[in-house]
Amino acid sequence: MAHPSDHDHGHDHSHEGASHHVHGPDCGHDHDHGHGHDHGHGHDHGQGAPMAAATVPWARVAACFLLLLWGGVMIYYFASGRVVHYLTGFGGFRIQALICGLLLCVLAAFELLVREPREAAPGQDEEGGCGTCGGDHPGHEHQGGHDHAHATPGGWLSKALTFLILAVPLSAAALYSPDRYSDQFFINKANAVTSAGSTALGGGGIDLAKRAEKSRPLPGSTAAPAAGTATSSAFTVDELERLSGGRTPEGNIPLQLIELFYMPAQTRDVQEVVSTQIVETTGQAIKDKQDPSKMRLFRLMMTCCAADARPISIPVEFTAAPPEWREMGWYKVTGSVEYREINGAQATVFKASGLTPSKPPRQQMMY
Amino acid sequence: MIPPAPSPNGDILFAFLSIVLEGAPYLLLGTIISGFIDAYLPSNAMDRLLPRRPLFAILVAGLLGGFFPVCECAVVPVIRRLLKKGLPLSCAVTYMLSAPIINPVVVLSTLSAFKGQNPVFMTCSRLLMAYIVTVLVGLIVSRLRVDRVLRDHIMAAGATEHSHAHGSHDQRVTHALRVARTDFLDTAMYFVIGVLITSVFNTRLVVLPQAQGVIAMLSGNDGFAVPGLMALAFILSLCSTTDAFIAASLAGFSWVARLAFLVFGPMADLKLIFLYSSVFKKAFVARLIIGLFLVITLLAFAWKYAAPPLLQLIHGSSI
Repeated sequence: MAHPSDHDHGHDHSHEGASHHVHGPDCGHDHDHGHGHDHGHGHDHGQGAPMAAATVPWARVAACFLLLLWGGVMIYYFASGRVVHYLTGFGGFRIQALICGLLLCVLAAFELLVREPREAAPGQDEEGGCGTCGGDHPGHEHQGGHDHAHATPGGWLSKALTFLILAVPLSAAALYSPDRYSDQFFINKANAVTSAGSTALGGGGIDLAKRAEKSRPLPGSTAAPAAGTATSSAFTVDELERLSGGRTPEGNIPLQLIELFYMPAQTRDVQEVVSTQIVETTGQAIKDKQDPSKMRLFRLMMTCCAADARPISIPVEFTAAPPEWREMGWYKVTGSVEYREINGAQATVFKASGLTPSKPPRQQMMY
Repeated sequence: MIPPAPSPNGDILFAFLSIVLEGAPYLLLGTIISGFIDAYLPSNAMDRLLPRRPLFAILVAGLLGGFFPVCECAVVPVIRRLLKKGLPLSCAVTYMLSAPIINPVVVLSTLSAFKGQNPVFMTCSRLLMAYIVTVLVGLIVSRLRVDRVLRDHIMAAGATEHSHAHGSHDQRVTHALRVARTDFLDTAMYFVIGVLITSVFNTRLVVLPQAQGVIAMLSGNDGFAVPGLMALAFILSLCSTTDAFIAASLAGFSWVARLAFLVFGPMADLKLIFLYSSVFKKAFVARLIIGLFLVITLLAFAWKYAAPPLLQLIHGSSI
């Protein structure tokens, strides 16, 4: 019954008491907690720890189920491609999720295939470990007894609760997550942009060249993958065309709002090449809080997962009379960019010559 | 499977699932490390690795993150296991709090996030302040009775721990995987509760115009901004490897407030309350978080006034 290899390993415990740990199915767990403090105050834990409720196969079934549920959800979200809405393509977050899912399934299989030796719960009346000595010093040698991995206190109620906490929220999210935020969330986030008057120049470390190599545009995505810096000394228009995924039929360079936003963090030659070109980008139009007659174009950006989404926006100035536009509407702007100091930070300003309504991009957030 | 239409409740589920997909791999990594520690590390290894004198042991524990980098989700199962392996509590707490900040990944992400905004100064300040705080906490914890700090079952398991660091290779791997499985489910429960609450706050509260108004109002005065951003870090529960990018984007706030955000956030937040509760007693968790809040506030203000003259002395530049 018991898995002998696990508990009958060659003990060389010098402090081991009389009982040798060969735990049979009805083992009384009278192990002598040979408490080998090398500073000699062994209080005796050697009471017969009461046997835990017989190891219910249900516990293992439940553990298996939970591991498969978690693993399955992670694999499904990766395999179905839905993960792109949740995690950025950078930093390996997606592949980590897949590996995690696979490993959880391995653990579940292992749980099914390898028999577990019975484990004991620690005695309820145990004197709380080494409370008297504080135990807070090097020199403890905790030996004797075995690993009470299941030693969480509580009866079936707390076990059931644990099970529900692990099973229900994840299942609900996996089944009913919409893969995108609601319009209300966007309106709130858009509001945050302008009230903070953000012209922030944070996060400049995003490597646009790497972005170009790694990110593949989704089929049907309106946003181009990239612009970038290959080498800081030799940035050319050709390179910009290549990294931005080629000119549009109108001959414009398509850039993501995020790339324009972080342009002040790029090297001077990149900035200059970009500013000589007619570029276009897509985003949602909102009123500038500081000057309501002006428009800002905003999008949400995630740093690693959708929960850290934050608004990124650039001011849009029109070269001619500003056309009519709708708050929170999606637009494509065409024009050129310049760099200016706003509220103490360098910011990209879009000088728009054209504004056309556009469809929301398939991917709600940039990264 | 076609996802349902977006809704305010859907926002919560969406945010929840995204944090789970991001965080679960780290949680699993932590529990697998924990399993292998249990299987391969002899129970007195910690005694041999750490200096004998408690003060030195704590000073070393604060730097261990540089060698065993783990973020704040992964560190909890690891210290659970290290405690059972006889790592002194004070060192465990110091390691737990410092490892998510004092590690190479975080150094790199902070440097790049603050590009153009004194990256070296911000990164060094963050590491230095985290080190001081965690060593201080370790010293205080070393004076506490262990049974007032650790949950009973952790203590009991620690007291009865026997070394699995022997036996054949197969047995050890078997054992490591079993421990990883148990620890994963144990810790994941606390993780789920924390992430759920964070998701509700994140999608329902922090985004409200009123909340944004409050945040903007705080930014002007450091007296409000420092505790304000620490509270924000607490609610947002960001991962320590990426929080620098968020901090760097909080343009209206002074560097001191953002520094406090970067030091406090990885040590204490909503999801961590629950993860910590898997190891520590509730009263200790509460005191720890309040203590961290106060100490980091004090240190932030001390650094606010001490740093500029220091920098002036070193190379004549100002912040």
